[in-house]
Amino acid sequence: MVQTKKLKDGSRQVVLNGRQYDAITKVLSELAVKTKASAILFADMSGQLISQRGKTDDMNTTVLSALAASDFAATSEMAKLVGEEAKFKLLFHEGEKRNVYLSNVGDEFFLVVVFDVSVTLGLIRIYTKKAIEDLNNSLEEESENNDVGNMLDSDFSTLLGDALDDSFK
Amino acid sequence: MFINWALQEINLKIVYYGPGMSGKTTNLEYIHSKLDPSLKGDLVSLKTKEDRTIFFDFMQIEVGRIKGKKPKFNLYTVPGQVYYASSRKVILNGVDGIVFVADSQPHRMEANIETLLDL
Repeated sequence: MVQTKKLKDGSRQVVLNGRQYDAITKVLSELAVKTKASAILFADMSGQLISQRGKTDDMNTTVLSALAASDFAATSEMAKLVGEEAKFKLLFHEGEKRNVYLSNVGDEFFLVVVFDVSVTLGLIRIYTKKAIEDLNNSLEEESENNDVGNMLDSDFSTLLGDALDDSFK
Repeated sequence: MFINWALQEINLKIVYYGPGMSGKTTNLEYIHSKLDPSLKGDLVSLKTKEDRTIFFDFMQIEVGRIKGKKPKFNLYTVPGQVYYASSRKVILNGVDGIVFVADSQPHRMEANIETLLDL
């Protein structure tokens, strides 16, 4: 499982280990090859981009992840309003040149597949479904215990504060 | 906080929260205008025709590597109007820090308190 810890201030700390990251990236690469998708993103429900594959140079994938997470959150509220007890599992946006297919991966993550209109939706659905199974398996693998406390020591906080101060013109 | 151990990335979500017209978007726009261009991403605003935030504003700040780690700050604002309560709730999902932007005008004190209690 992904290492998750509730901190004293009520916020949540989620740690994805190296093995899980490599497995996720491998699934995304395979999905990109099979579907010929323009871009594939894997992100968490708070909008943090975790991994991406495909031709993403001309795309602001950070913003795309934030918008996609909000899209999920908004439709989740929409589901409640129309009396749907479960969350909507997938979202589809149809364009003239490109389509976007979004599907949740468990409760905490989601997948965004951007693909050309020449690629059929059925193909995307079949391969994405398989990829989601693989992603869920990777995320459920036993987690290594990464020492976050050591990573974020007081020295780190001081240096980060200085770097933030220096960031302003 | 989302930590990607493989990339040594630390992702933090900061949300600017407060009543409508208190200056949340203005805060973010100011930060965006003053930041070193190499450290900031685009500022994305989802606004109504009347220039009010309908869903959120978003920008990312990266300050480079610190002790080999790569901290990234994702800054969001929420819409302040009462009728956007659902949007506020969803944007607060996974938040690590909140900047409460209060309206300093005396007649807006009630709105400040109402928004704070809604948190």
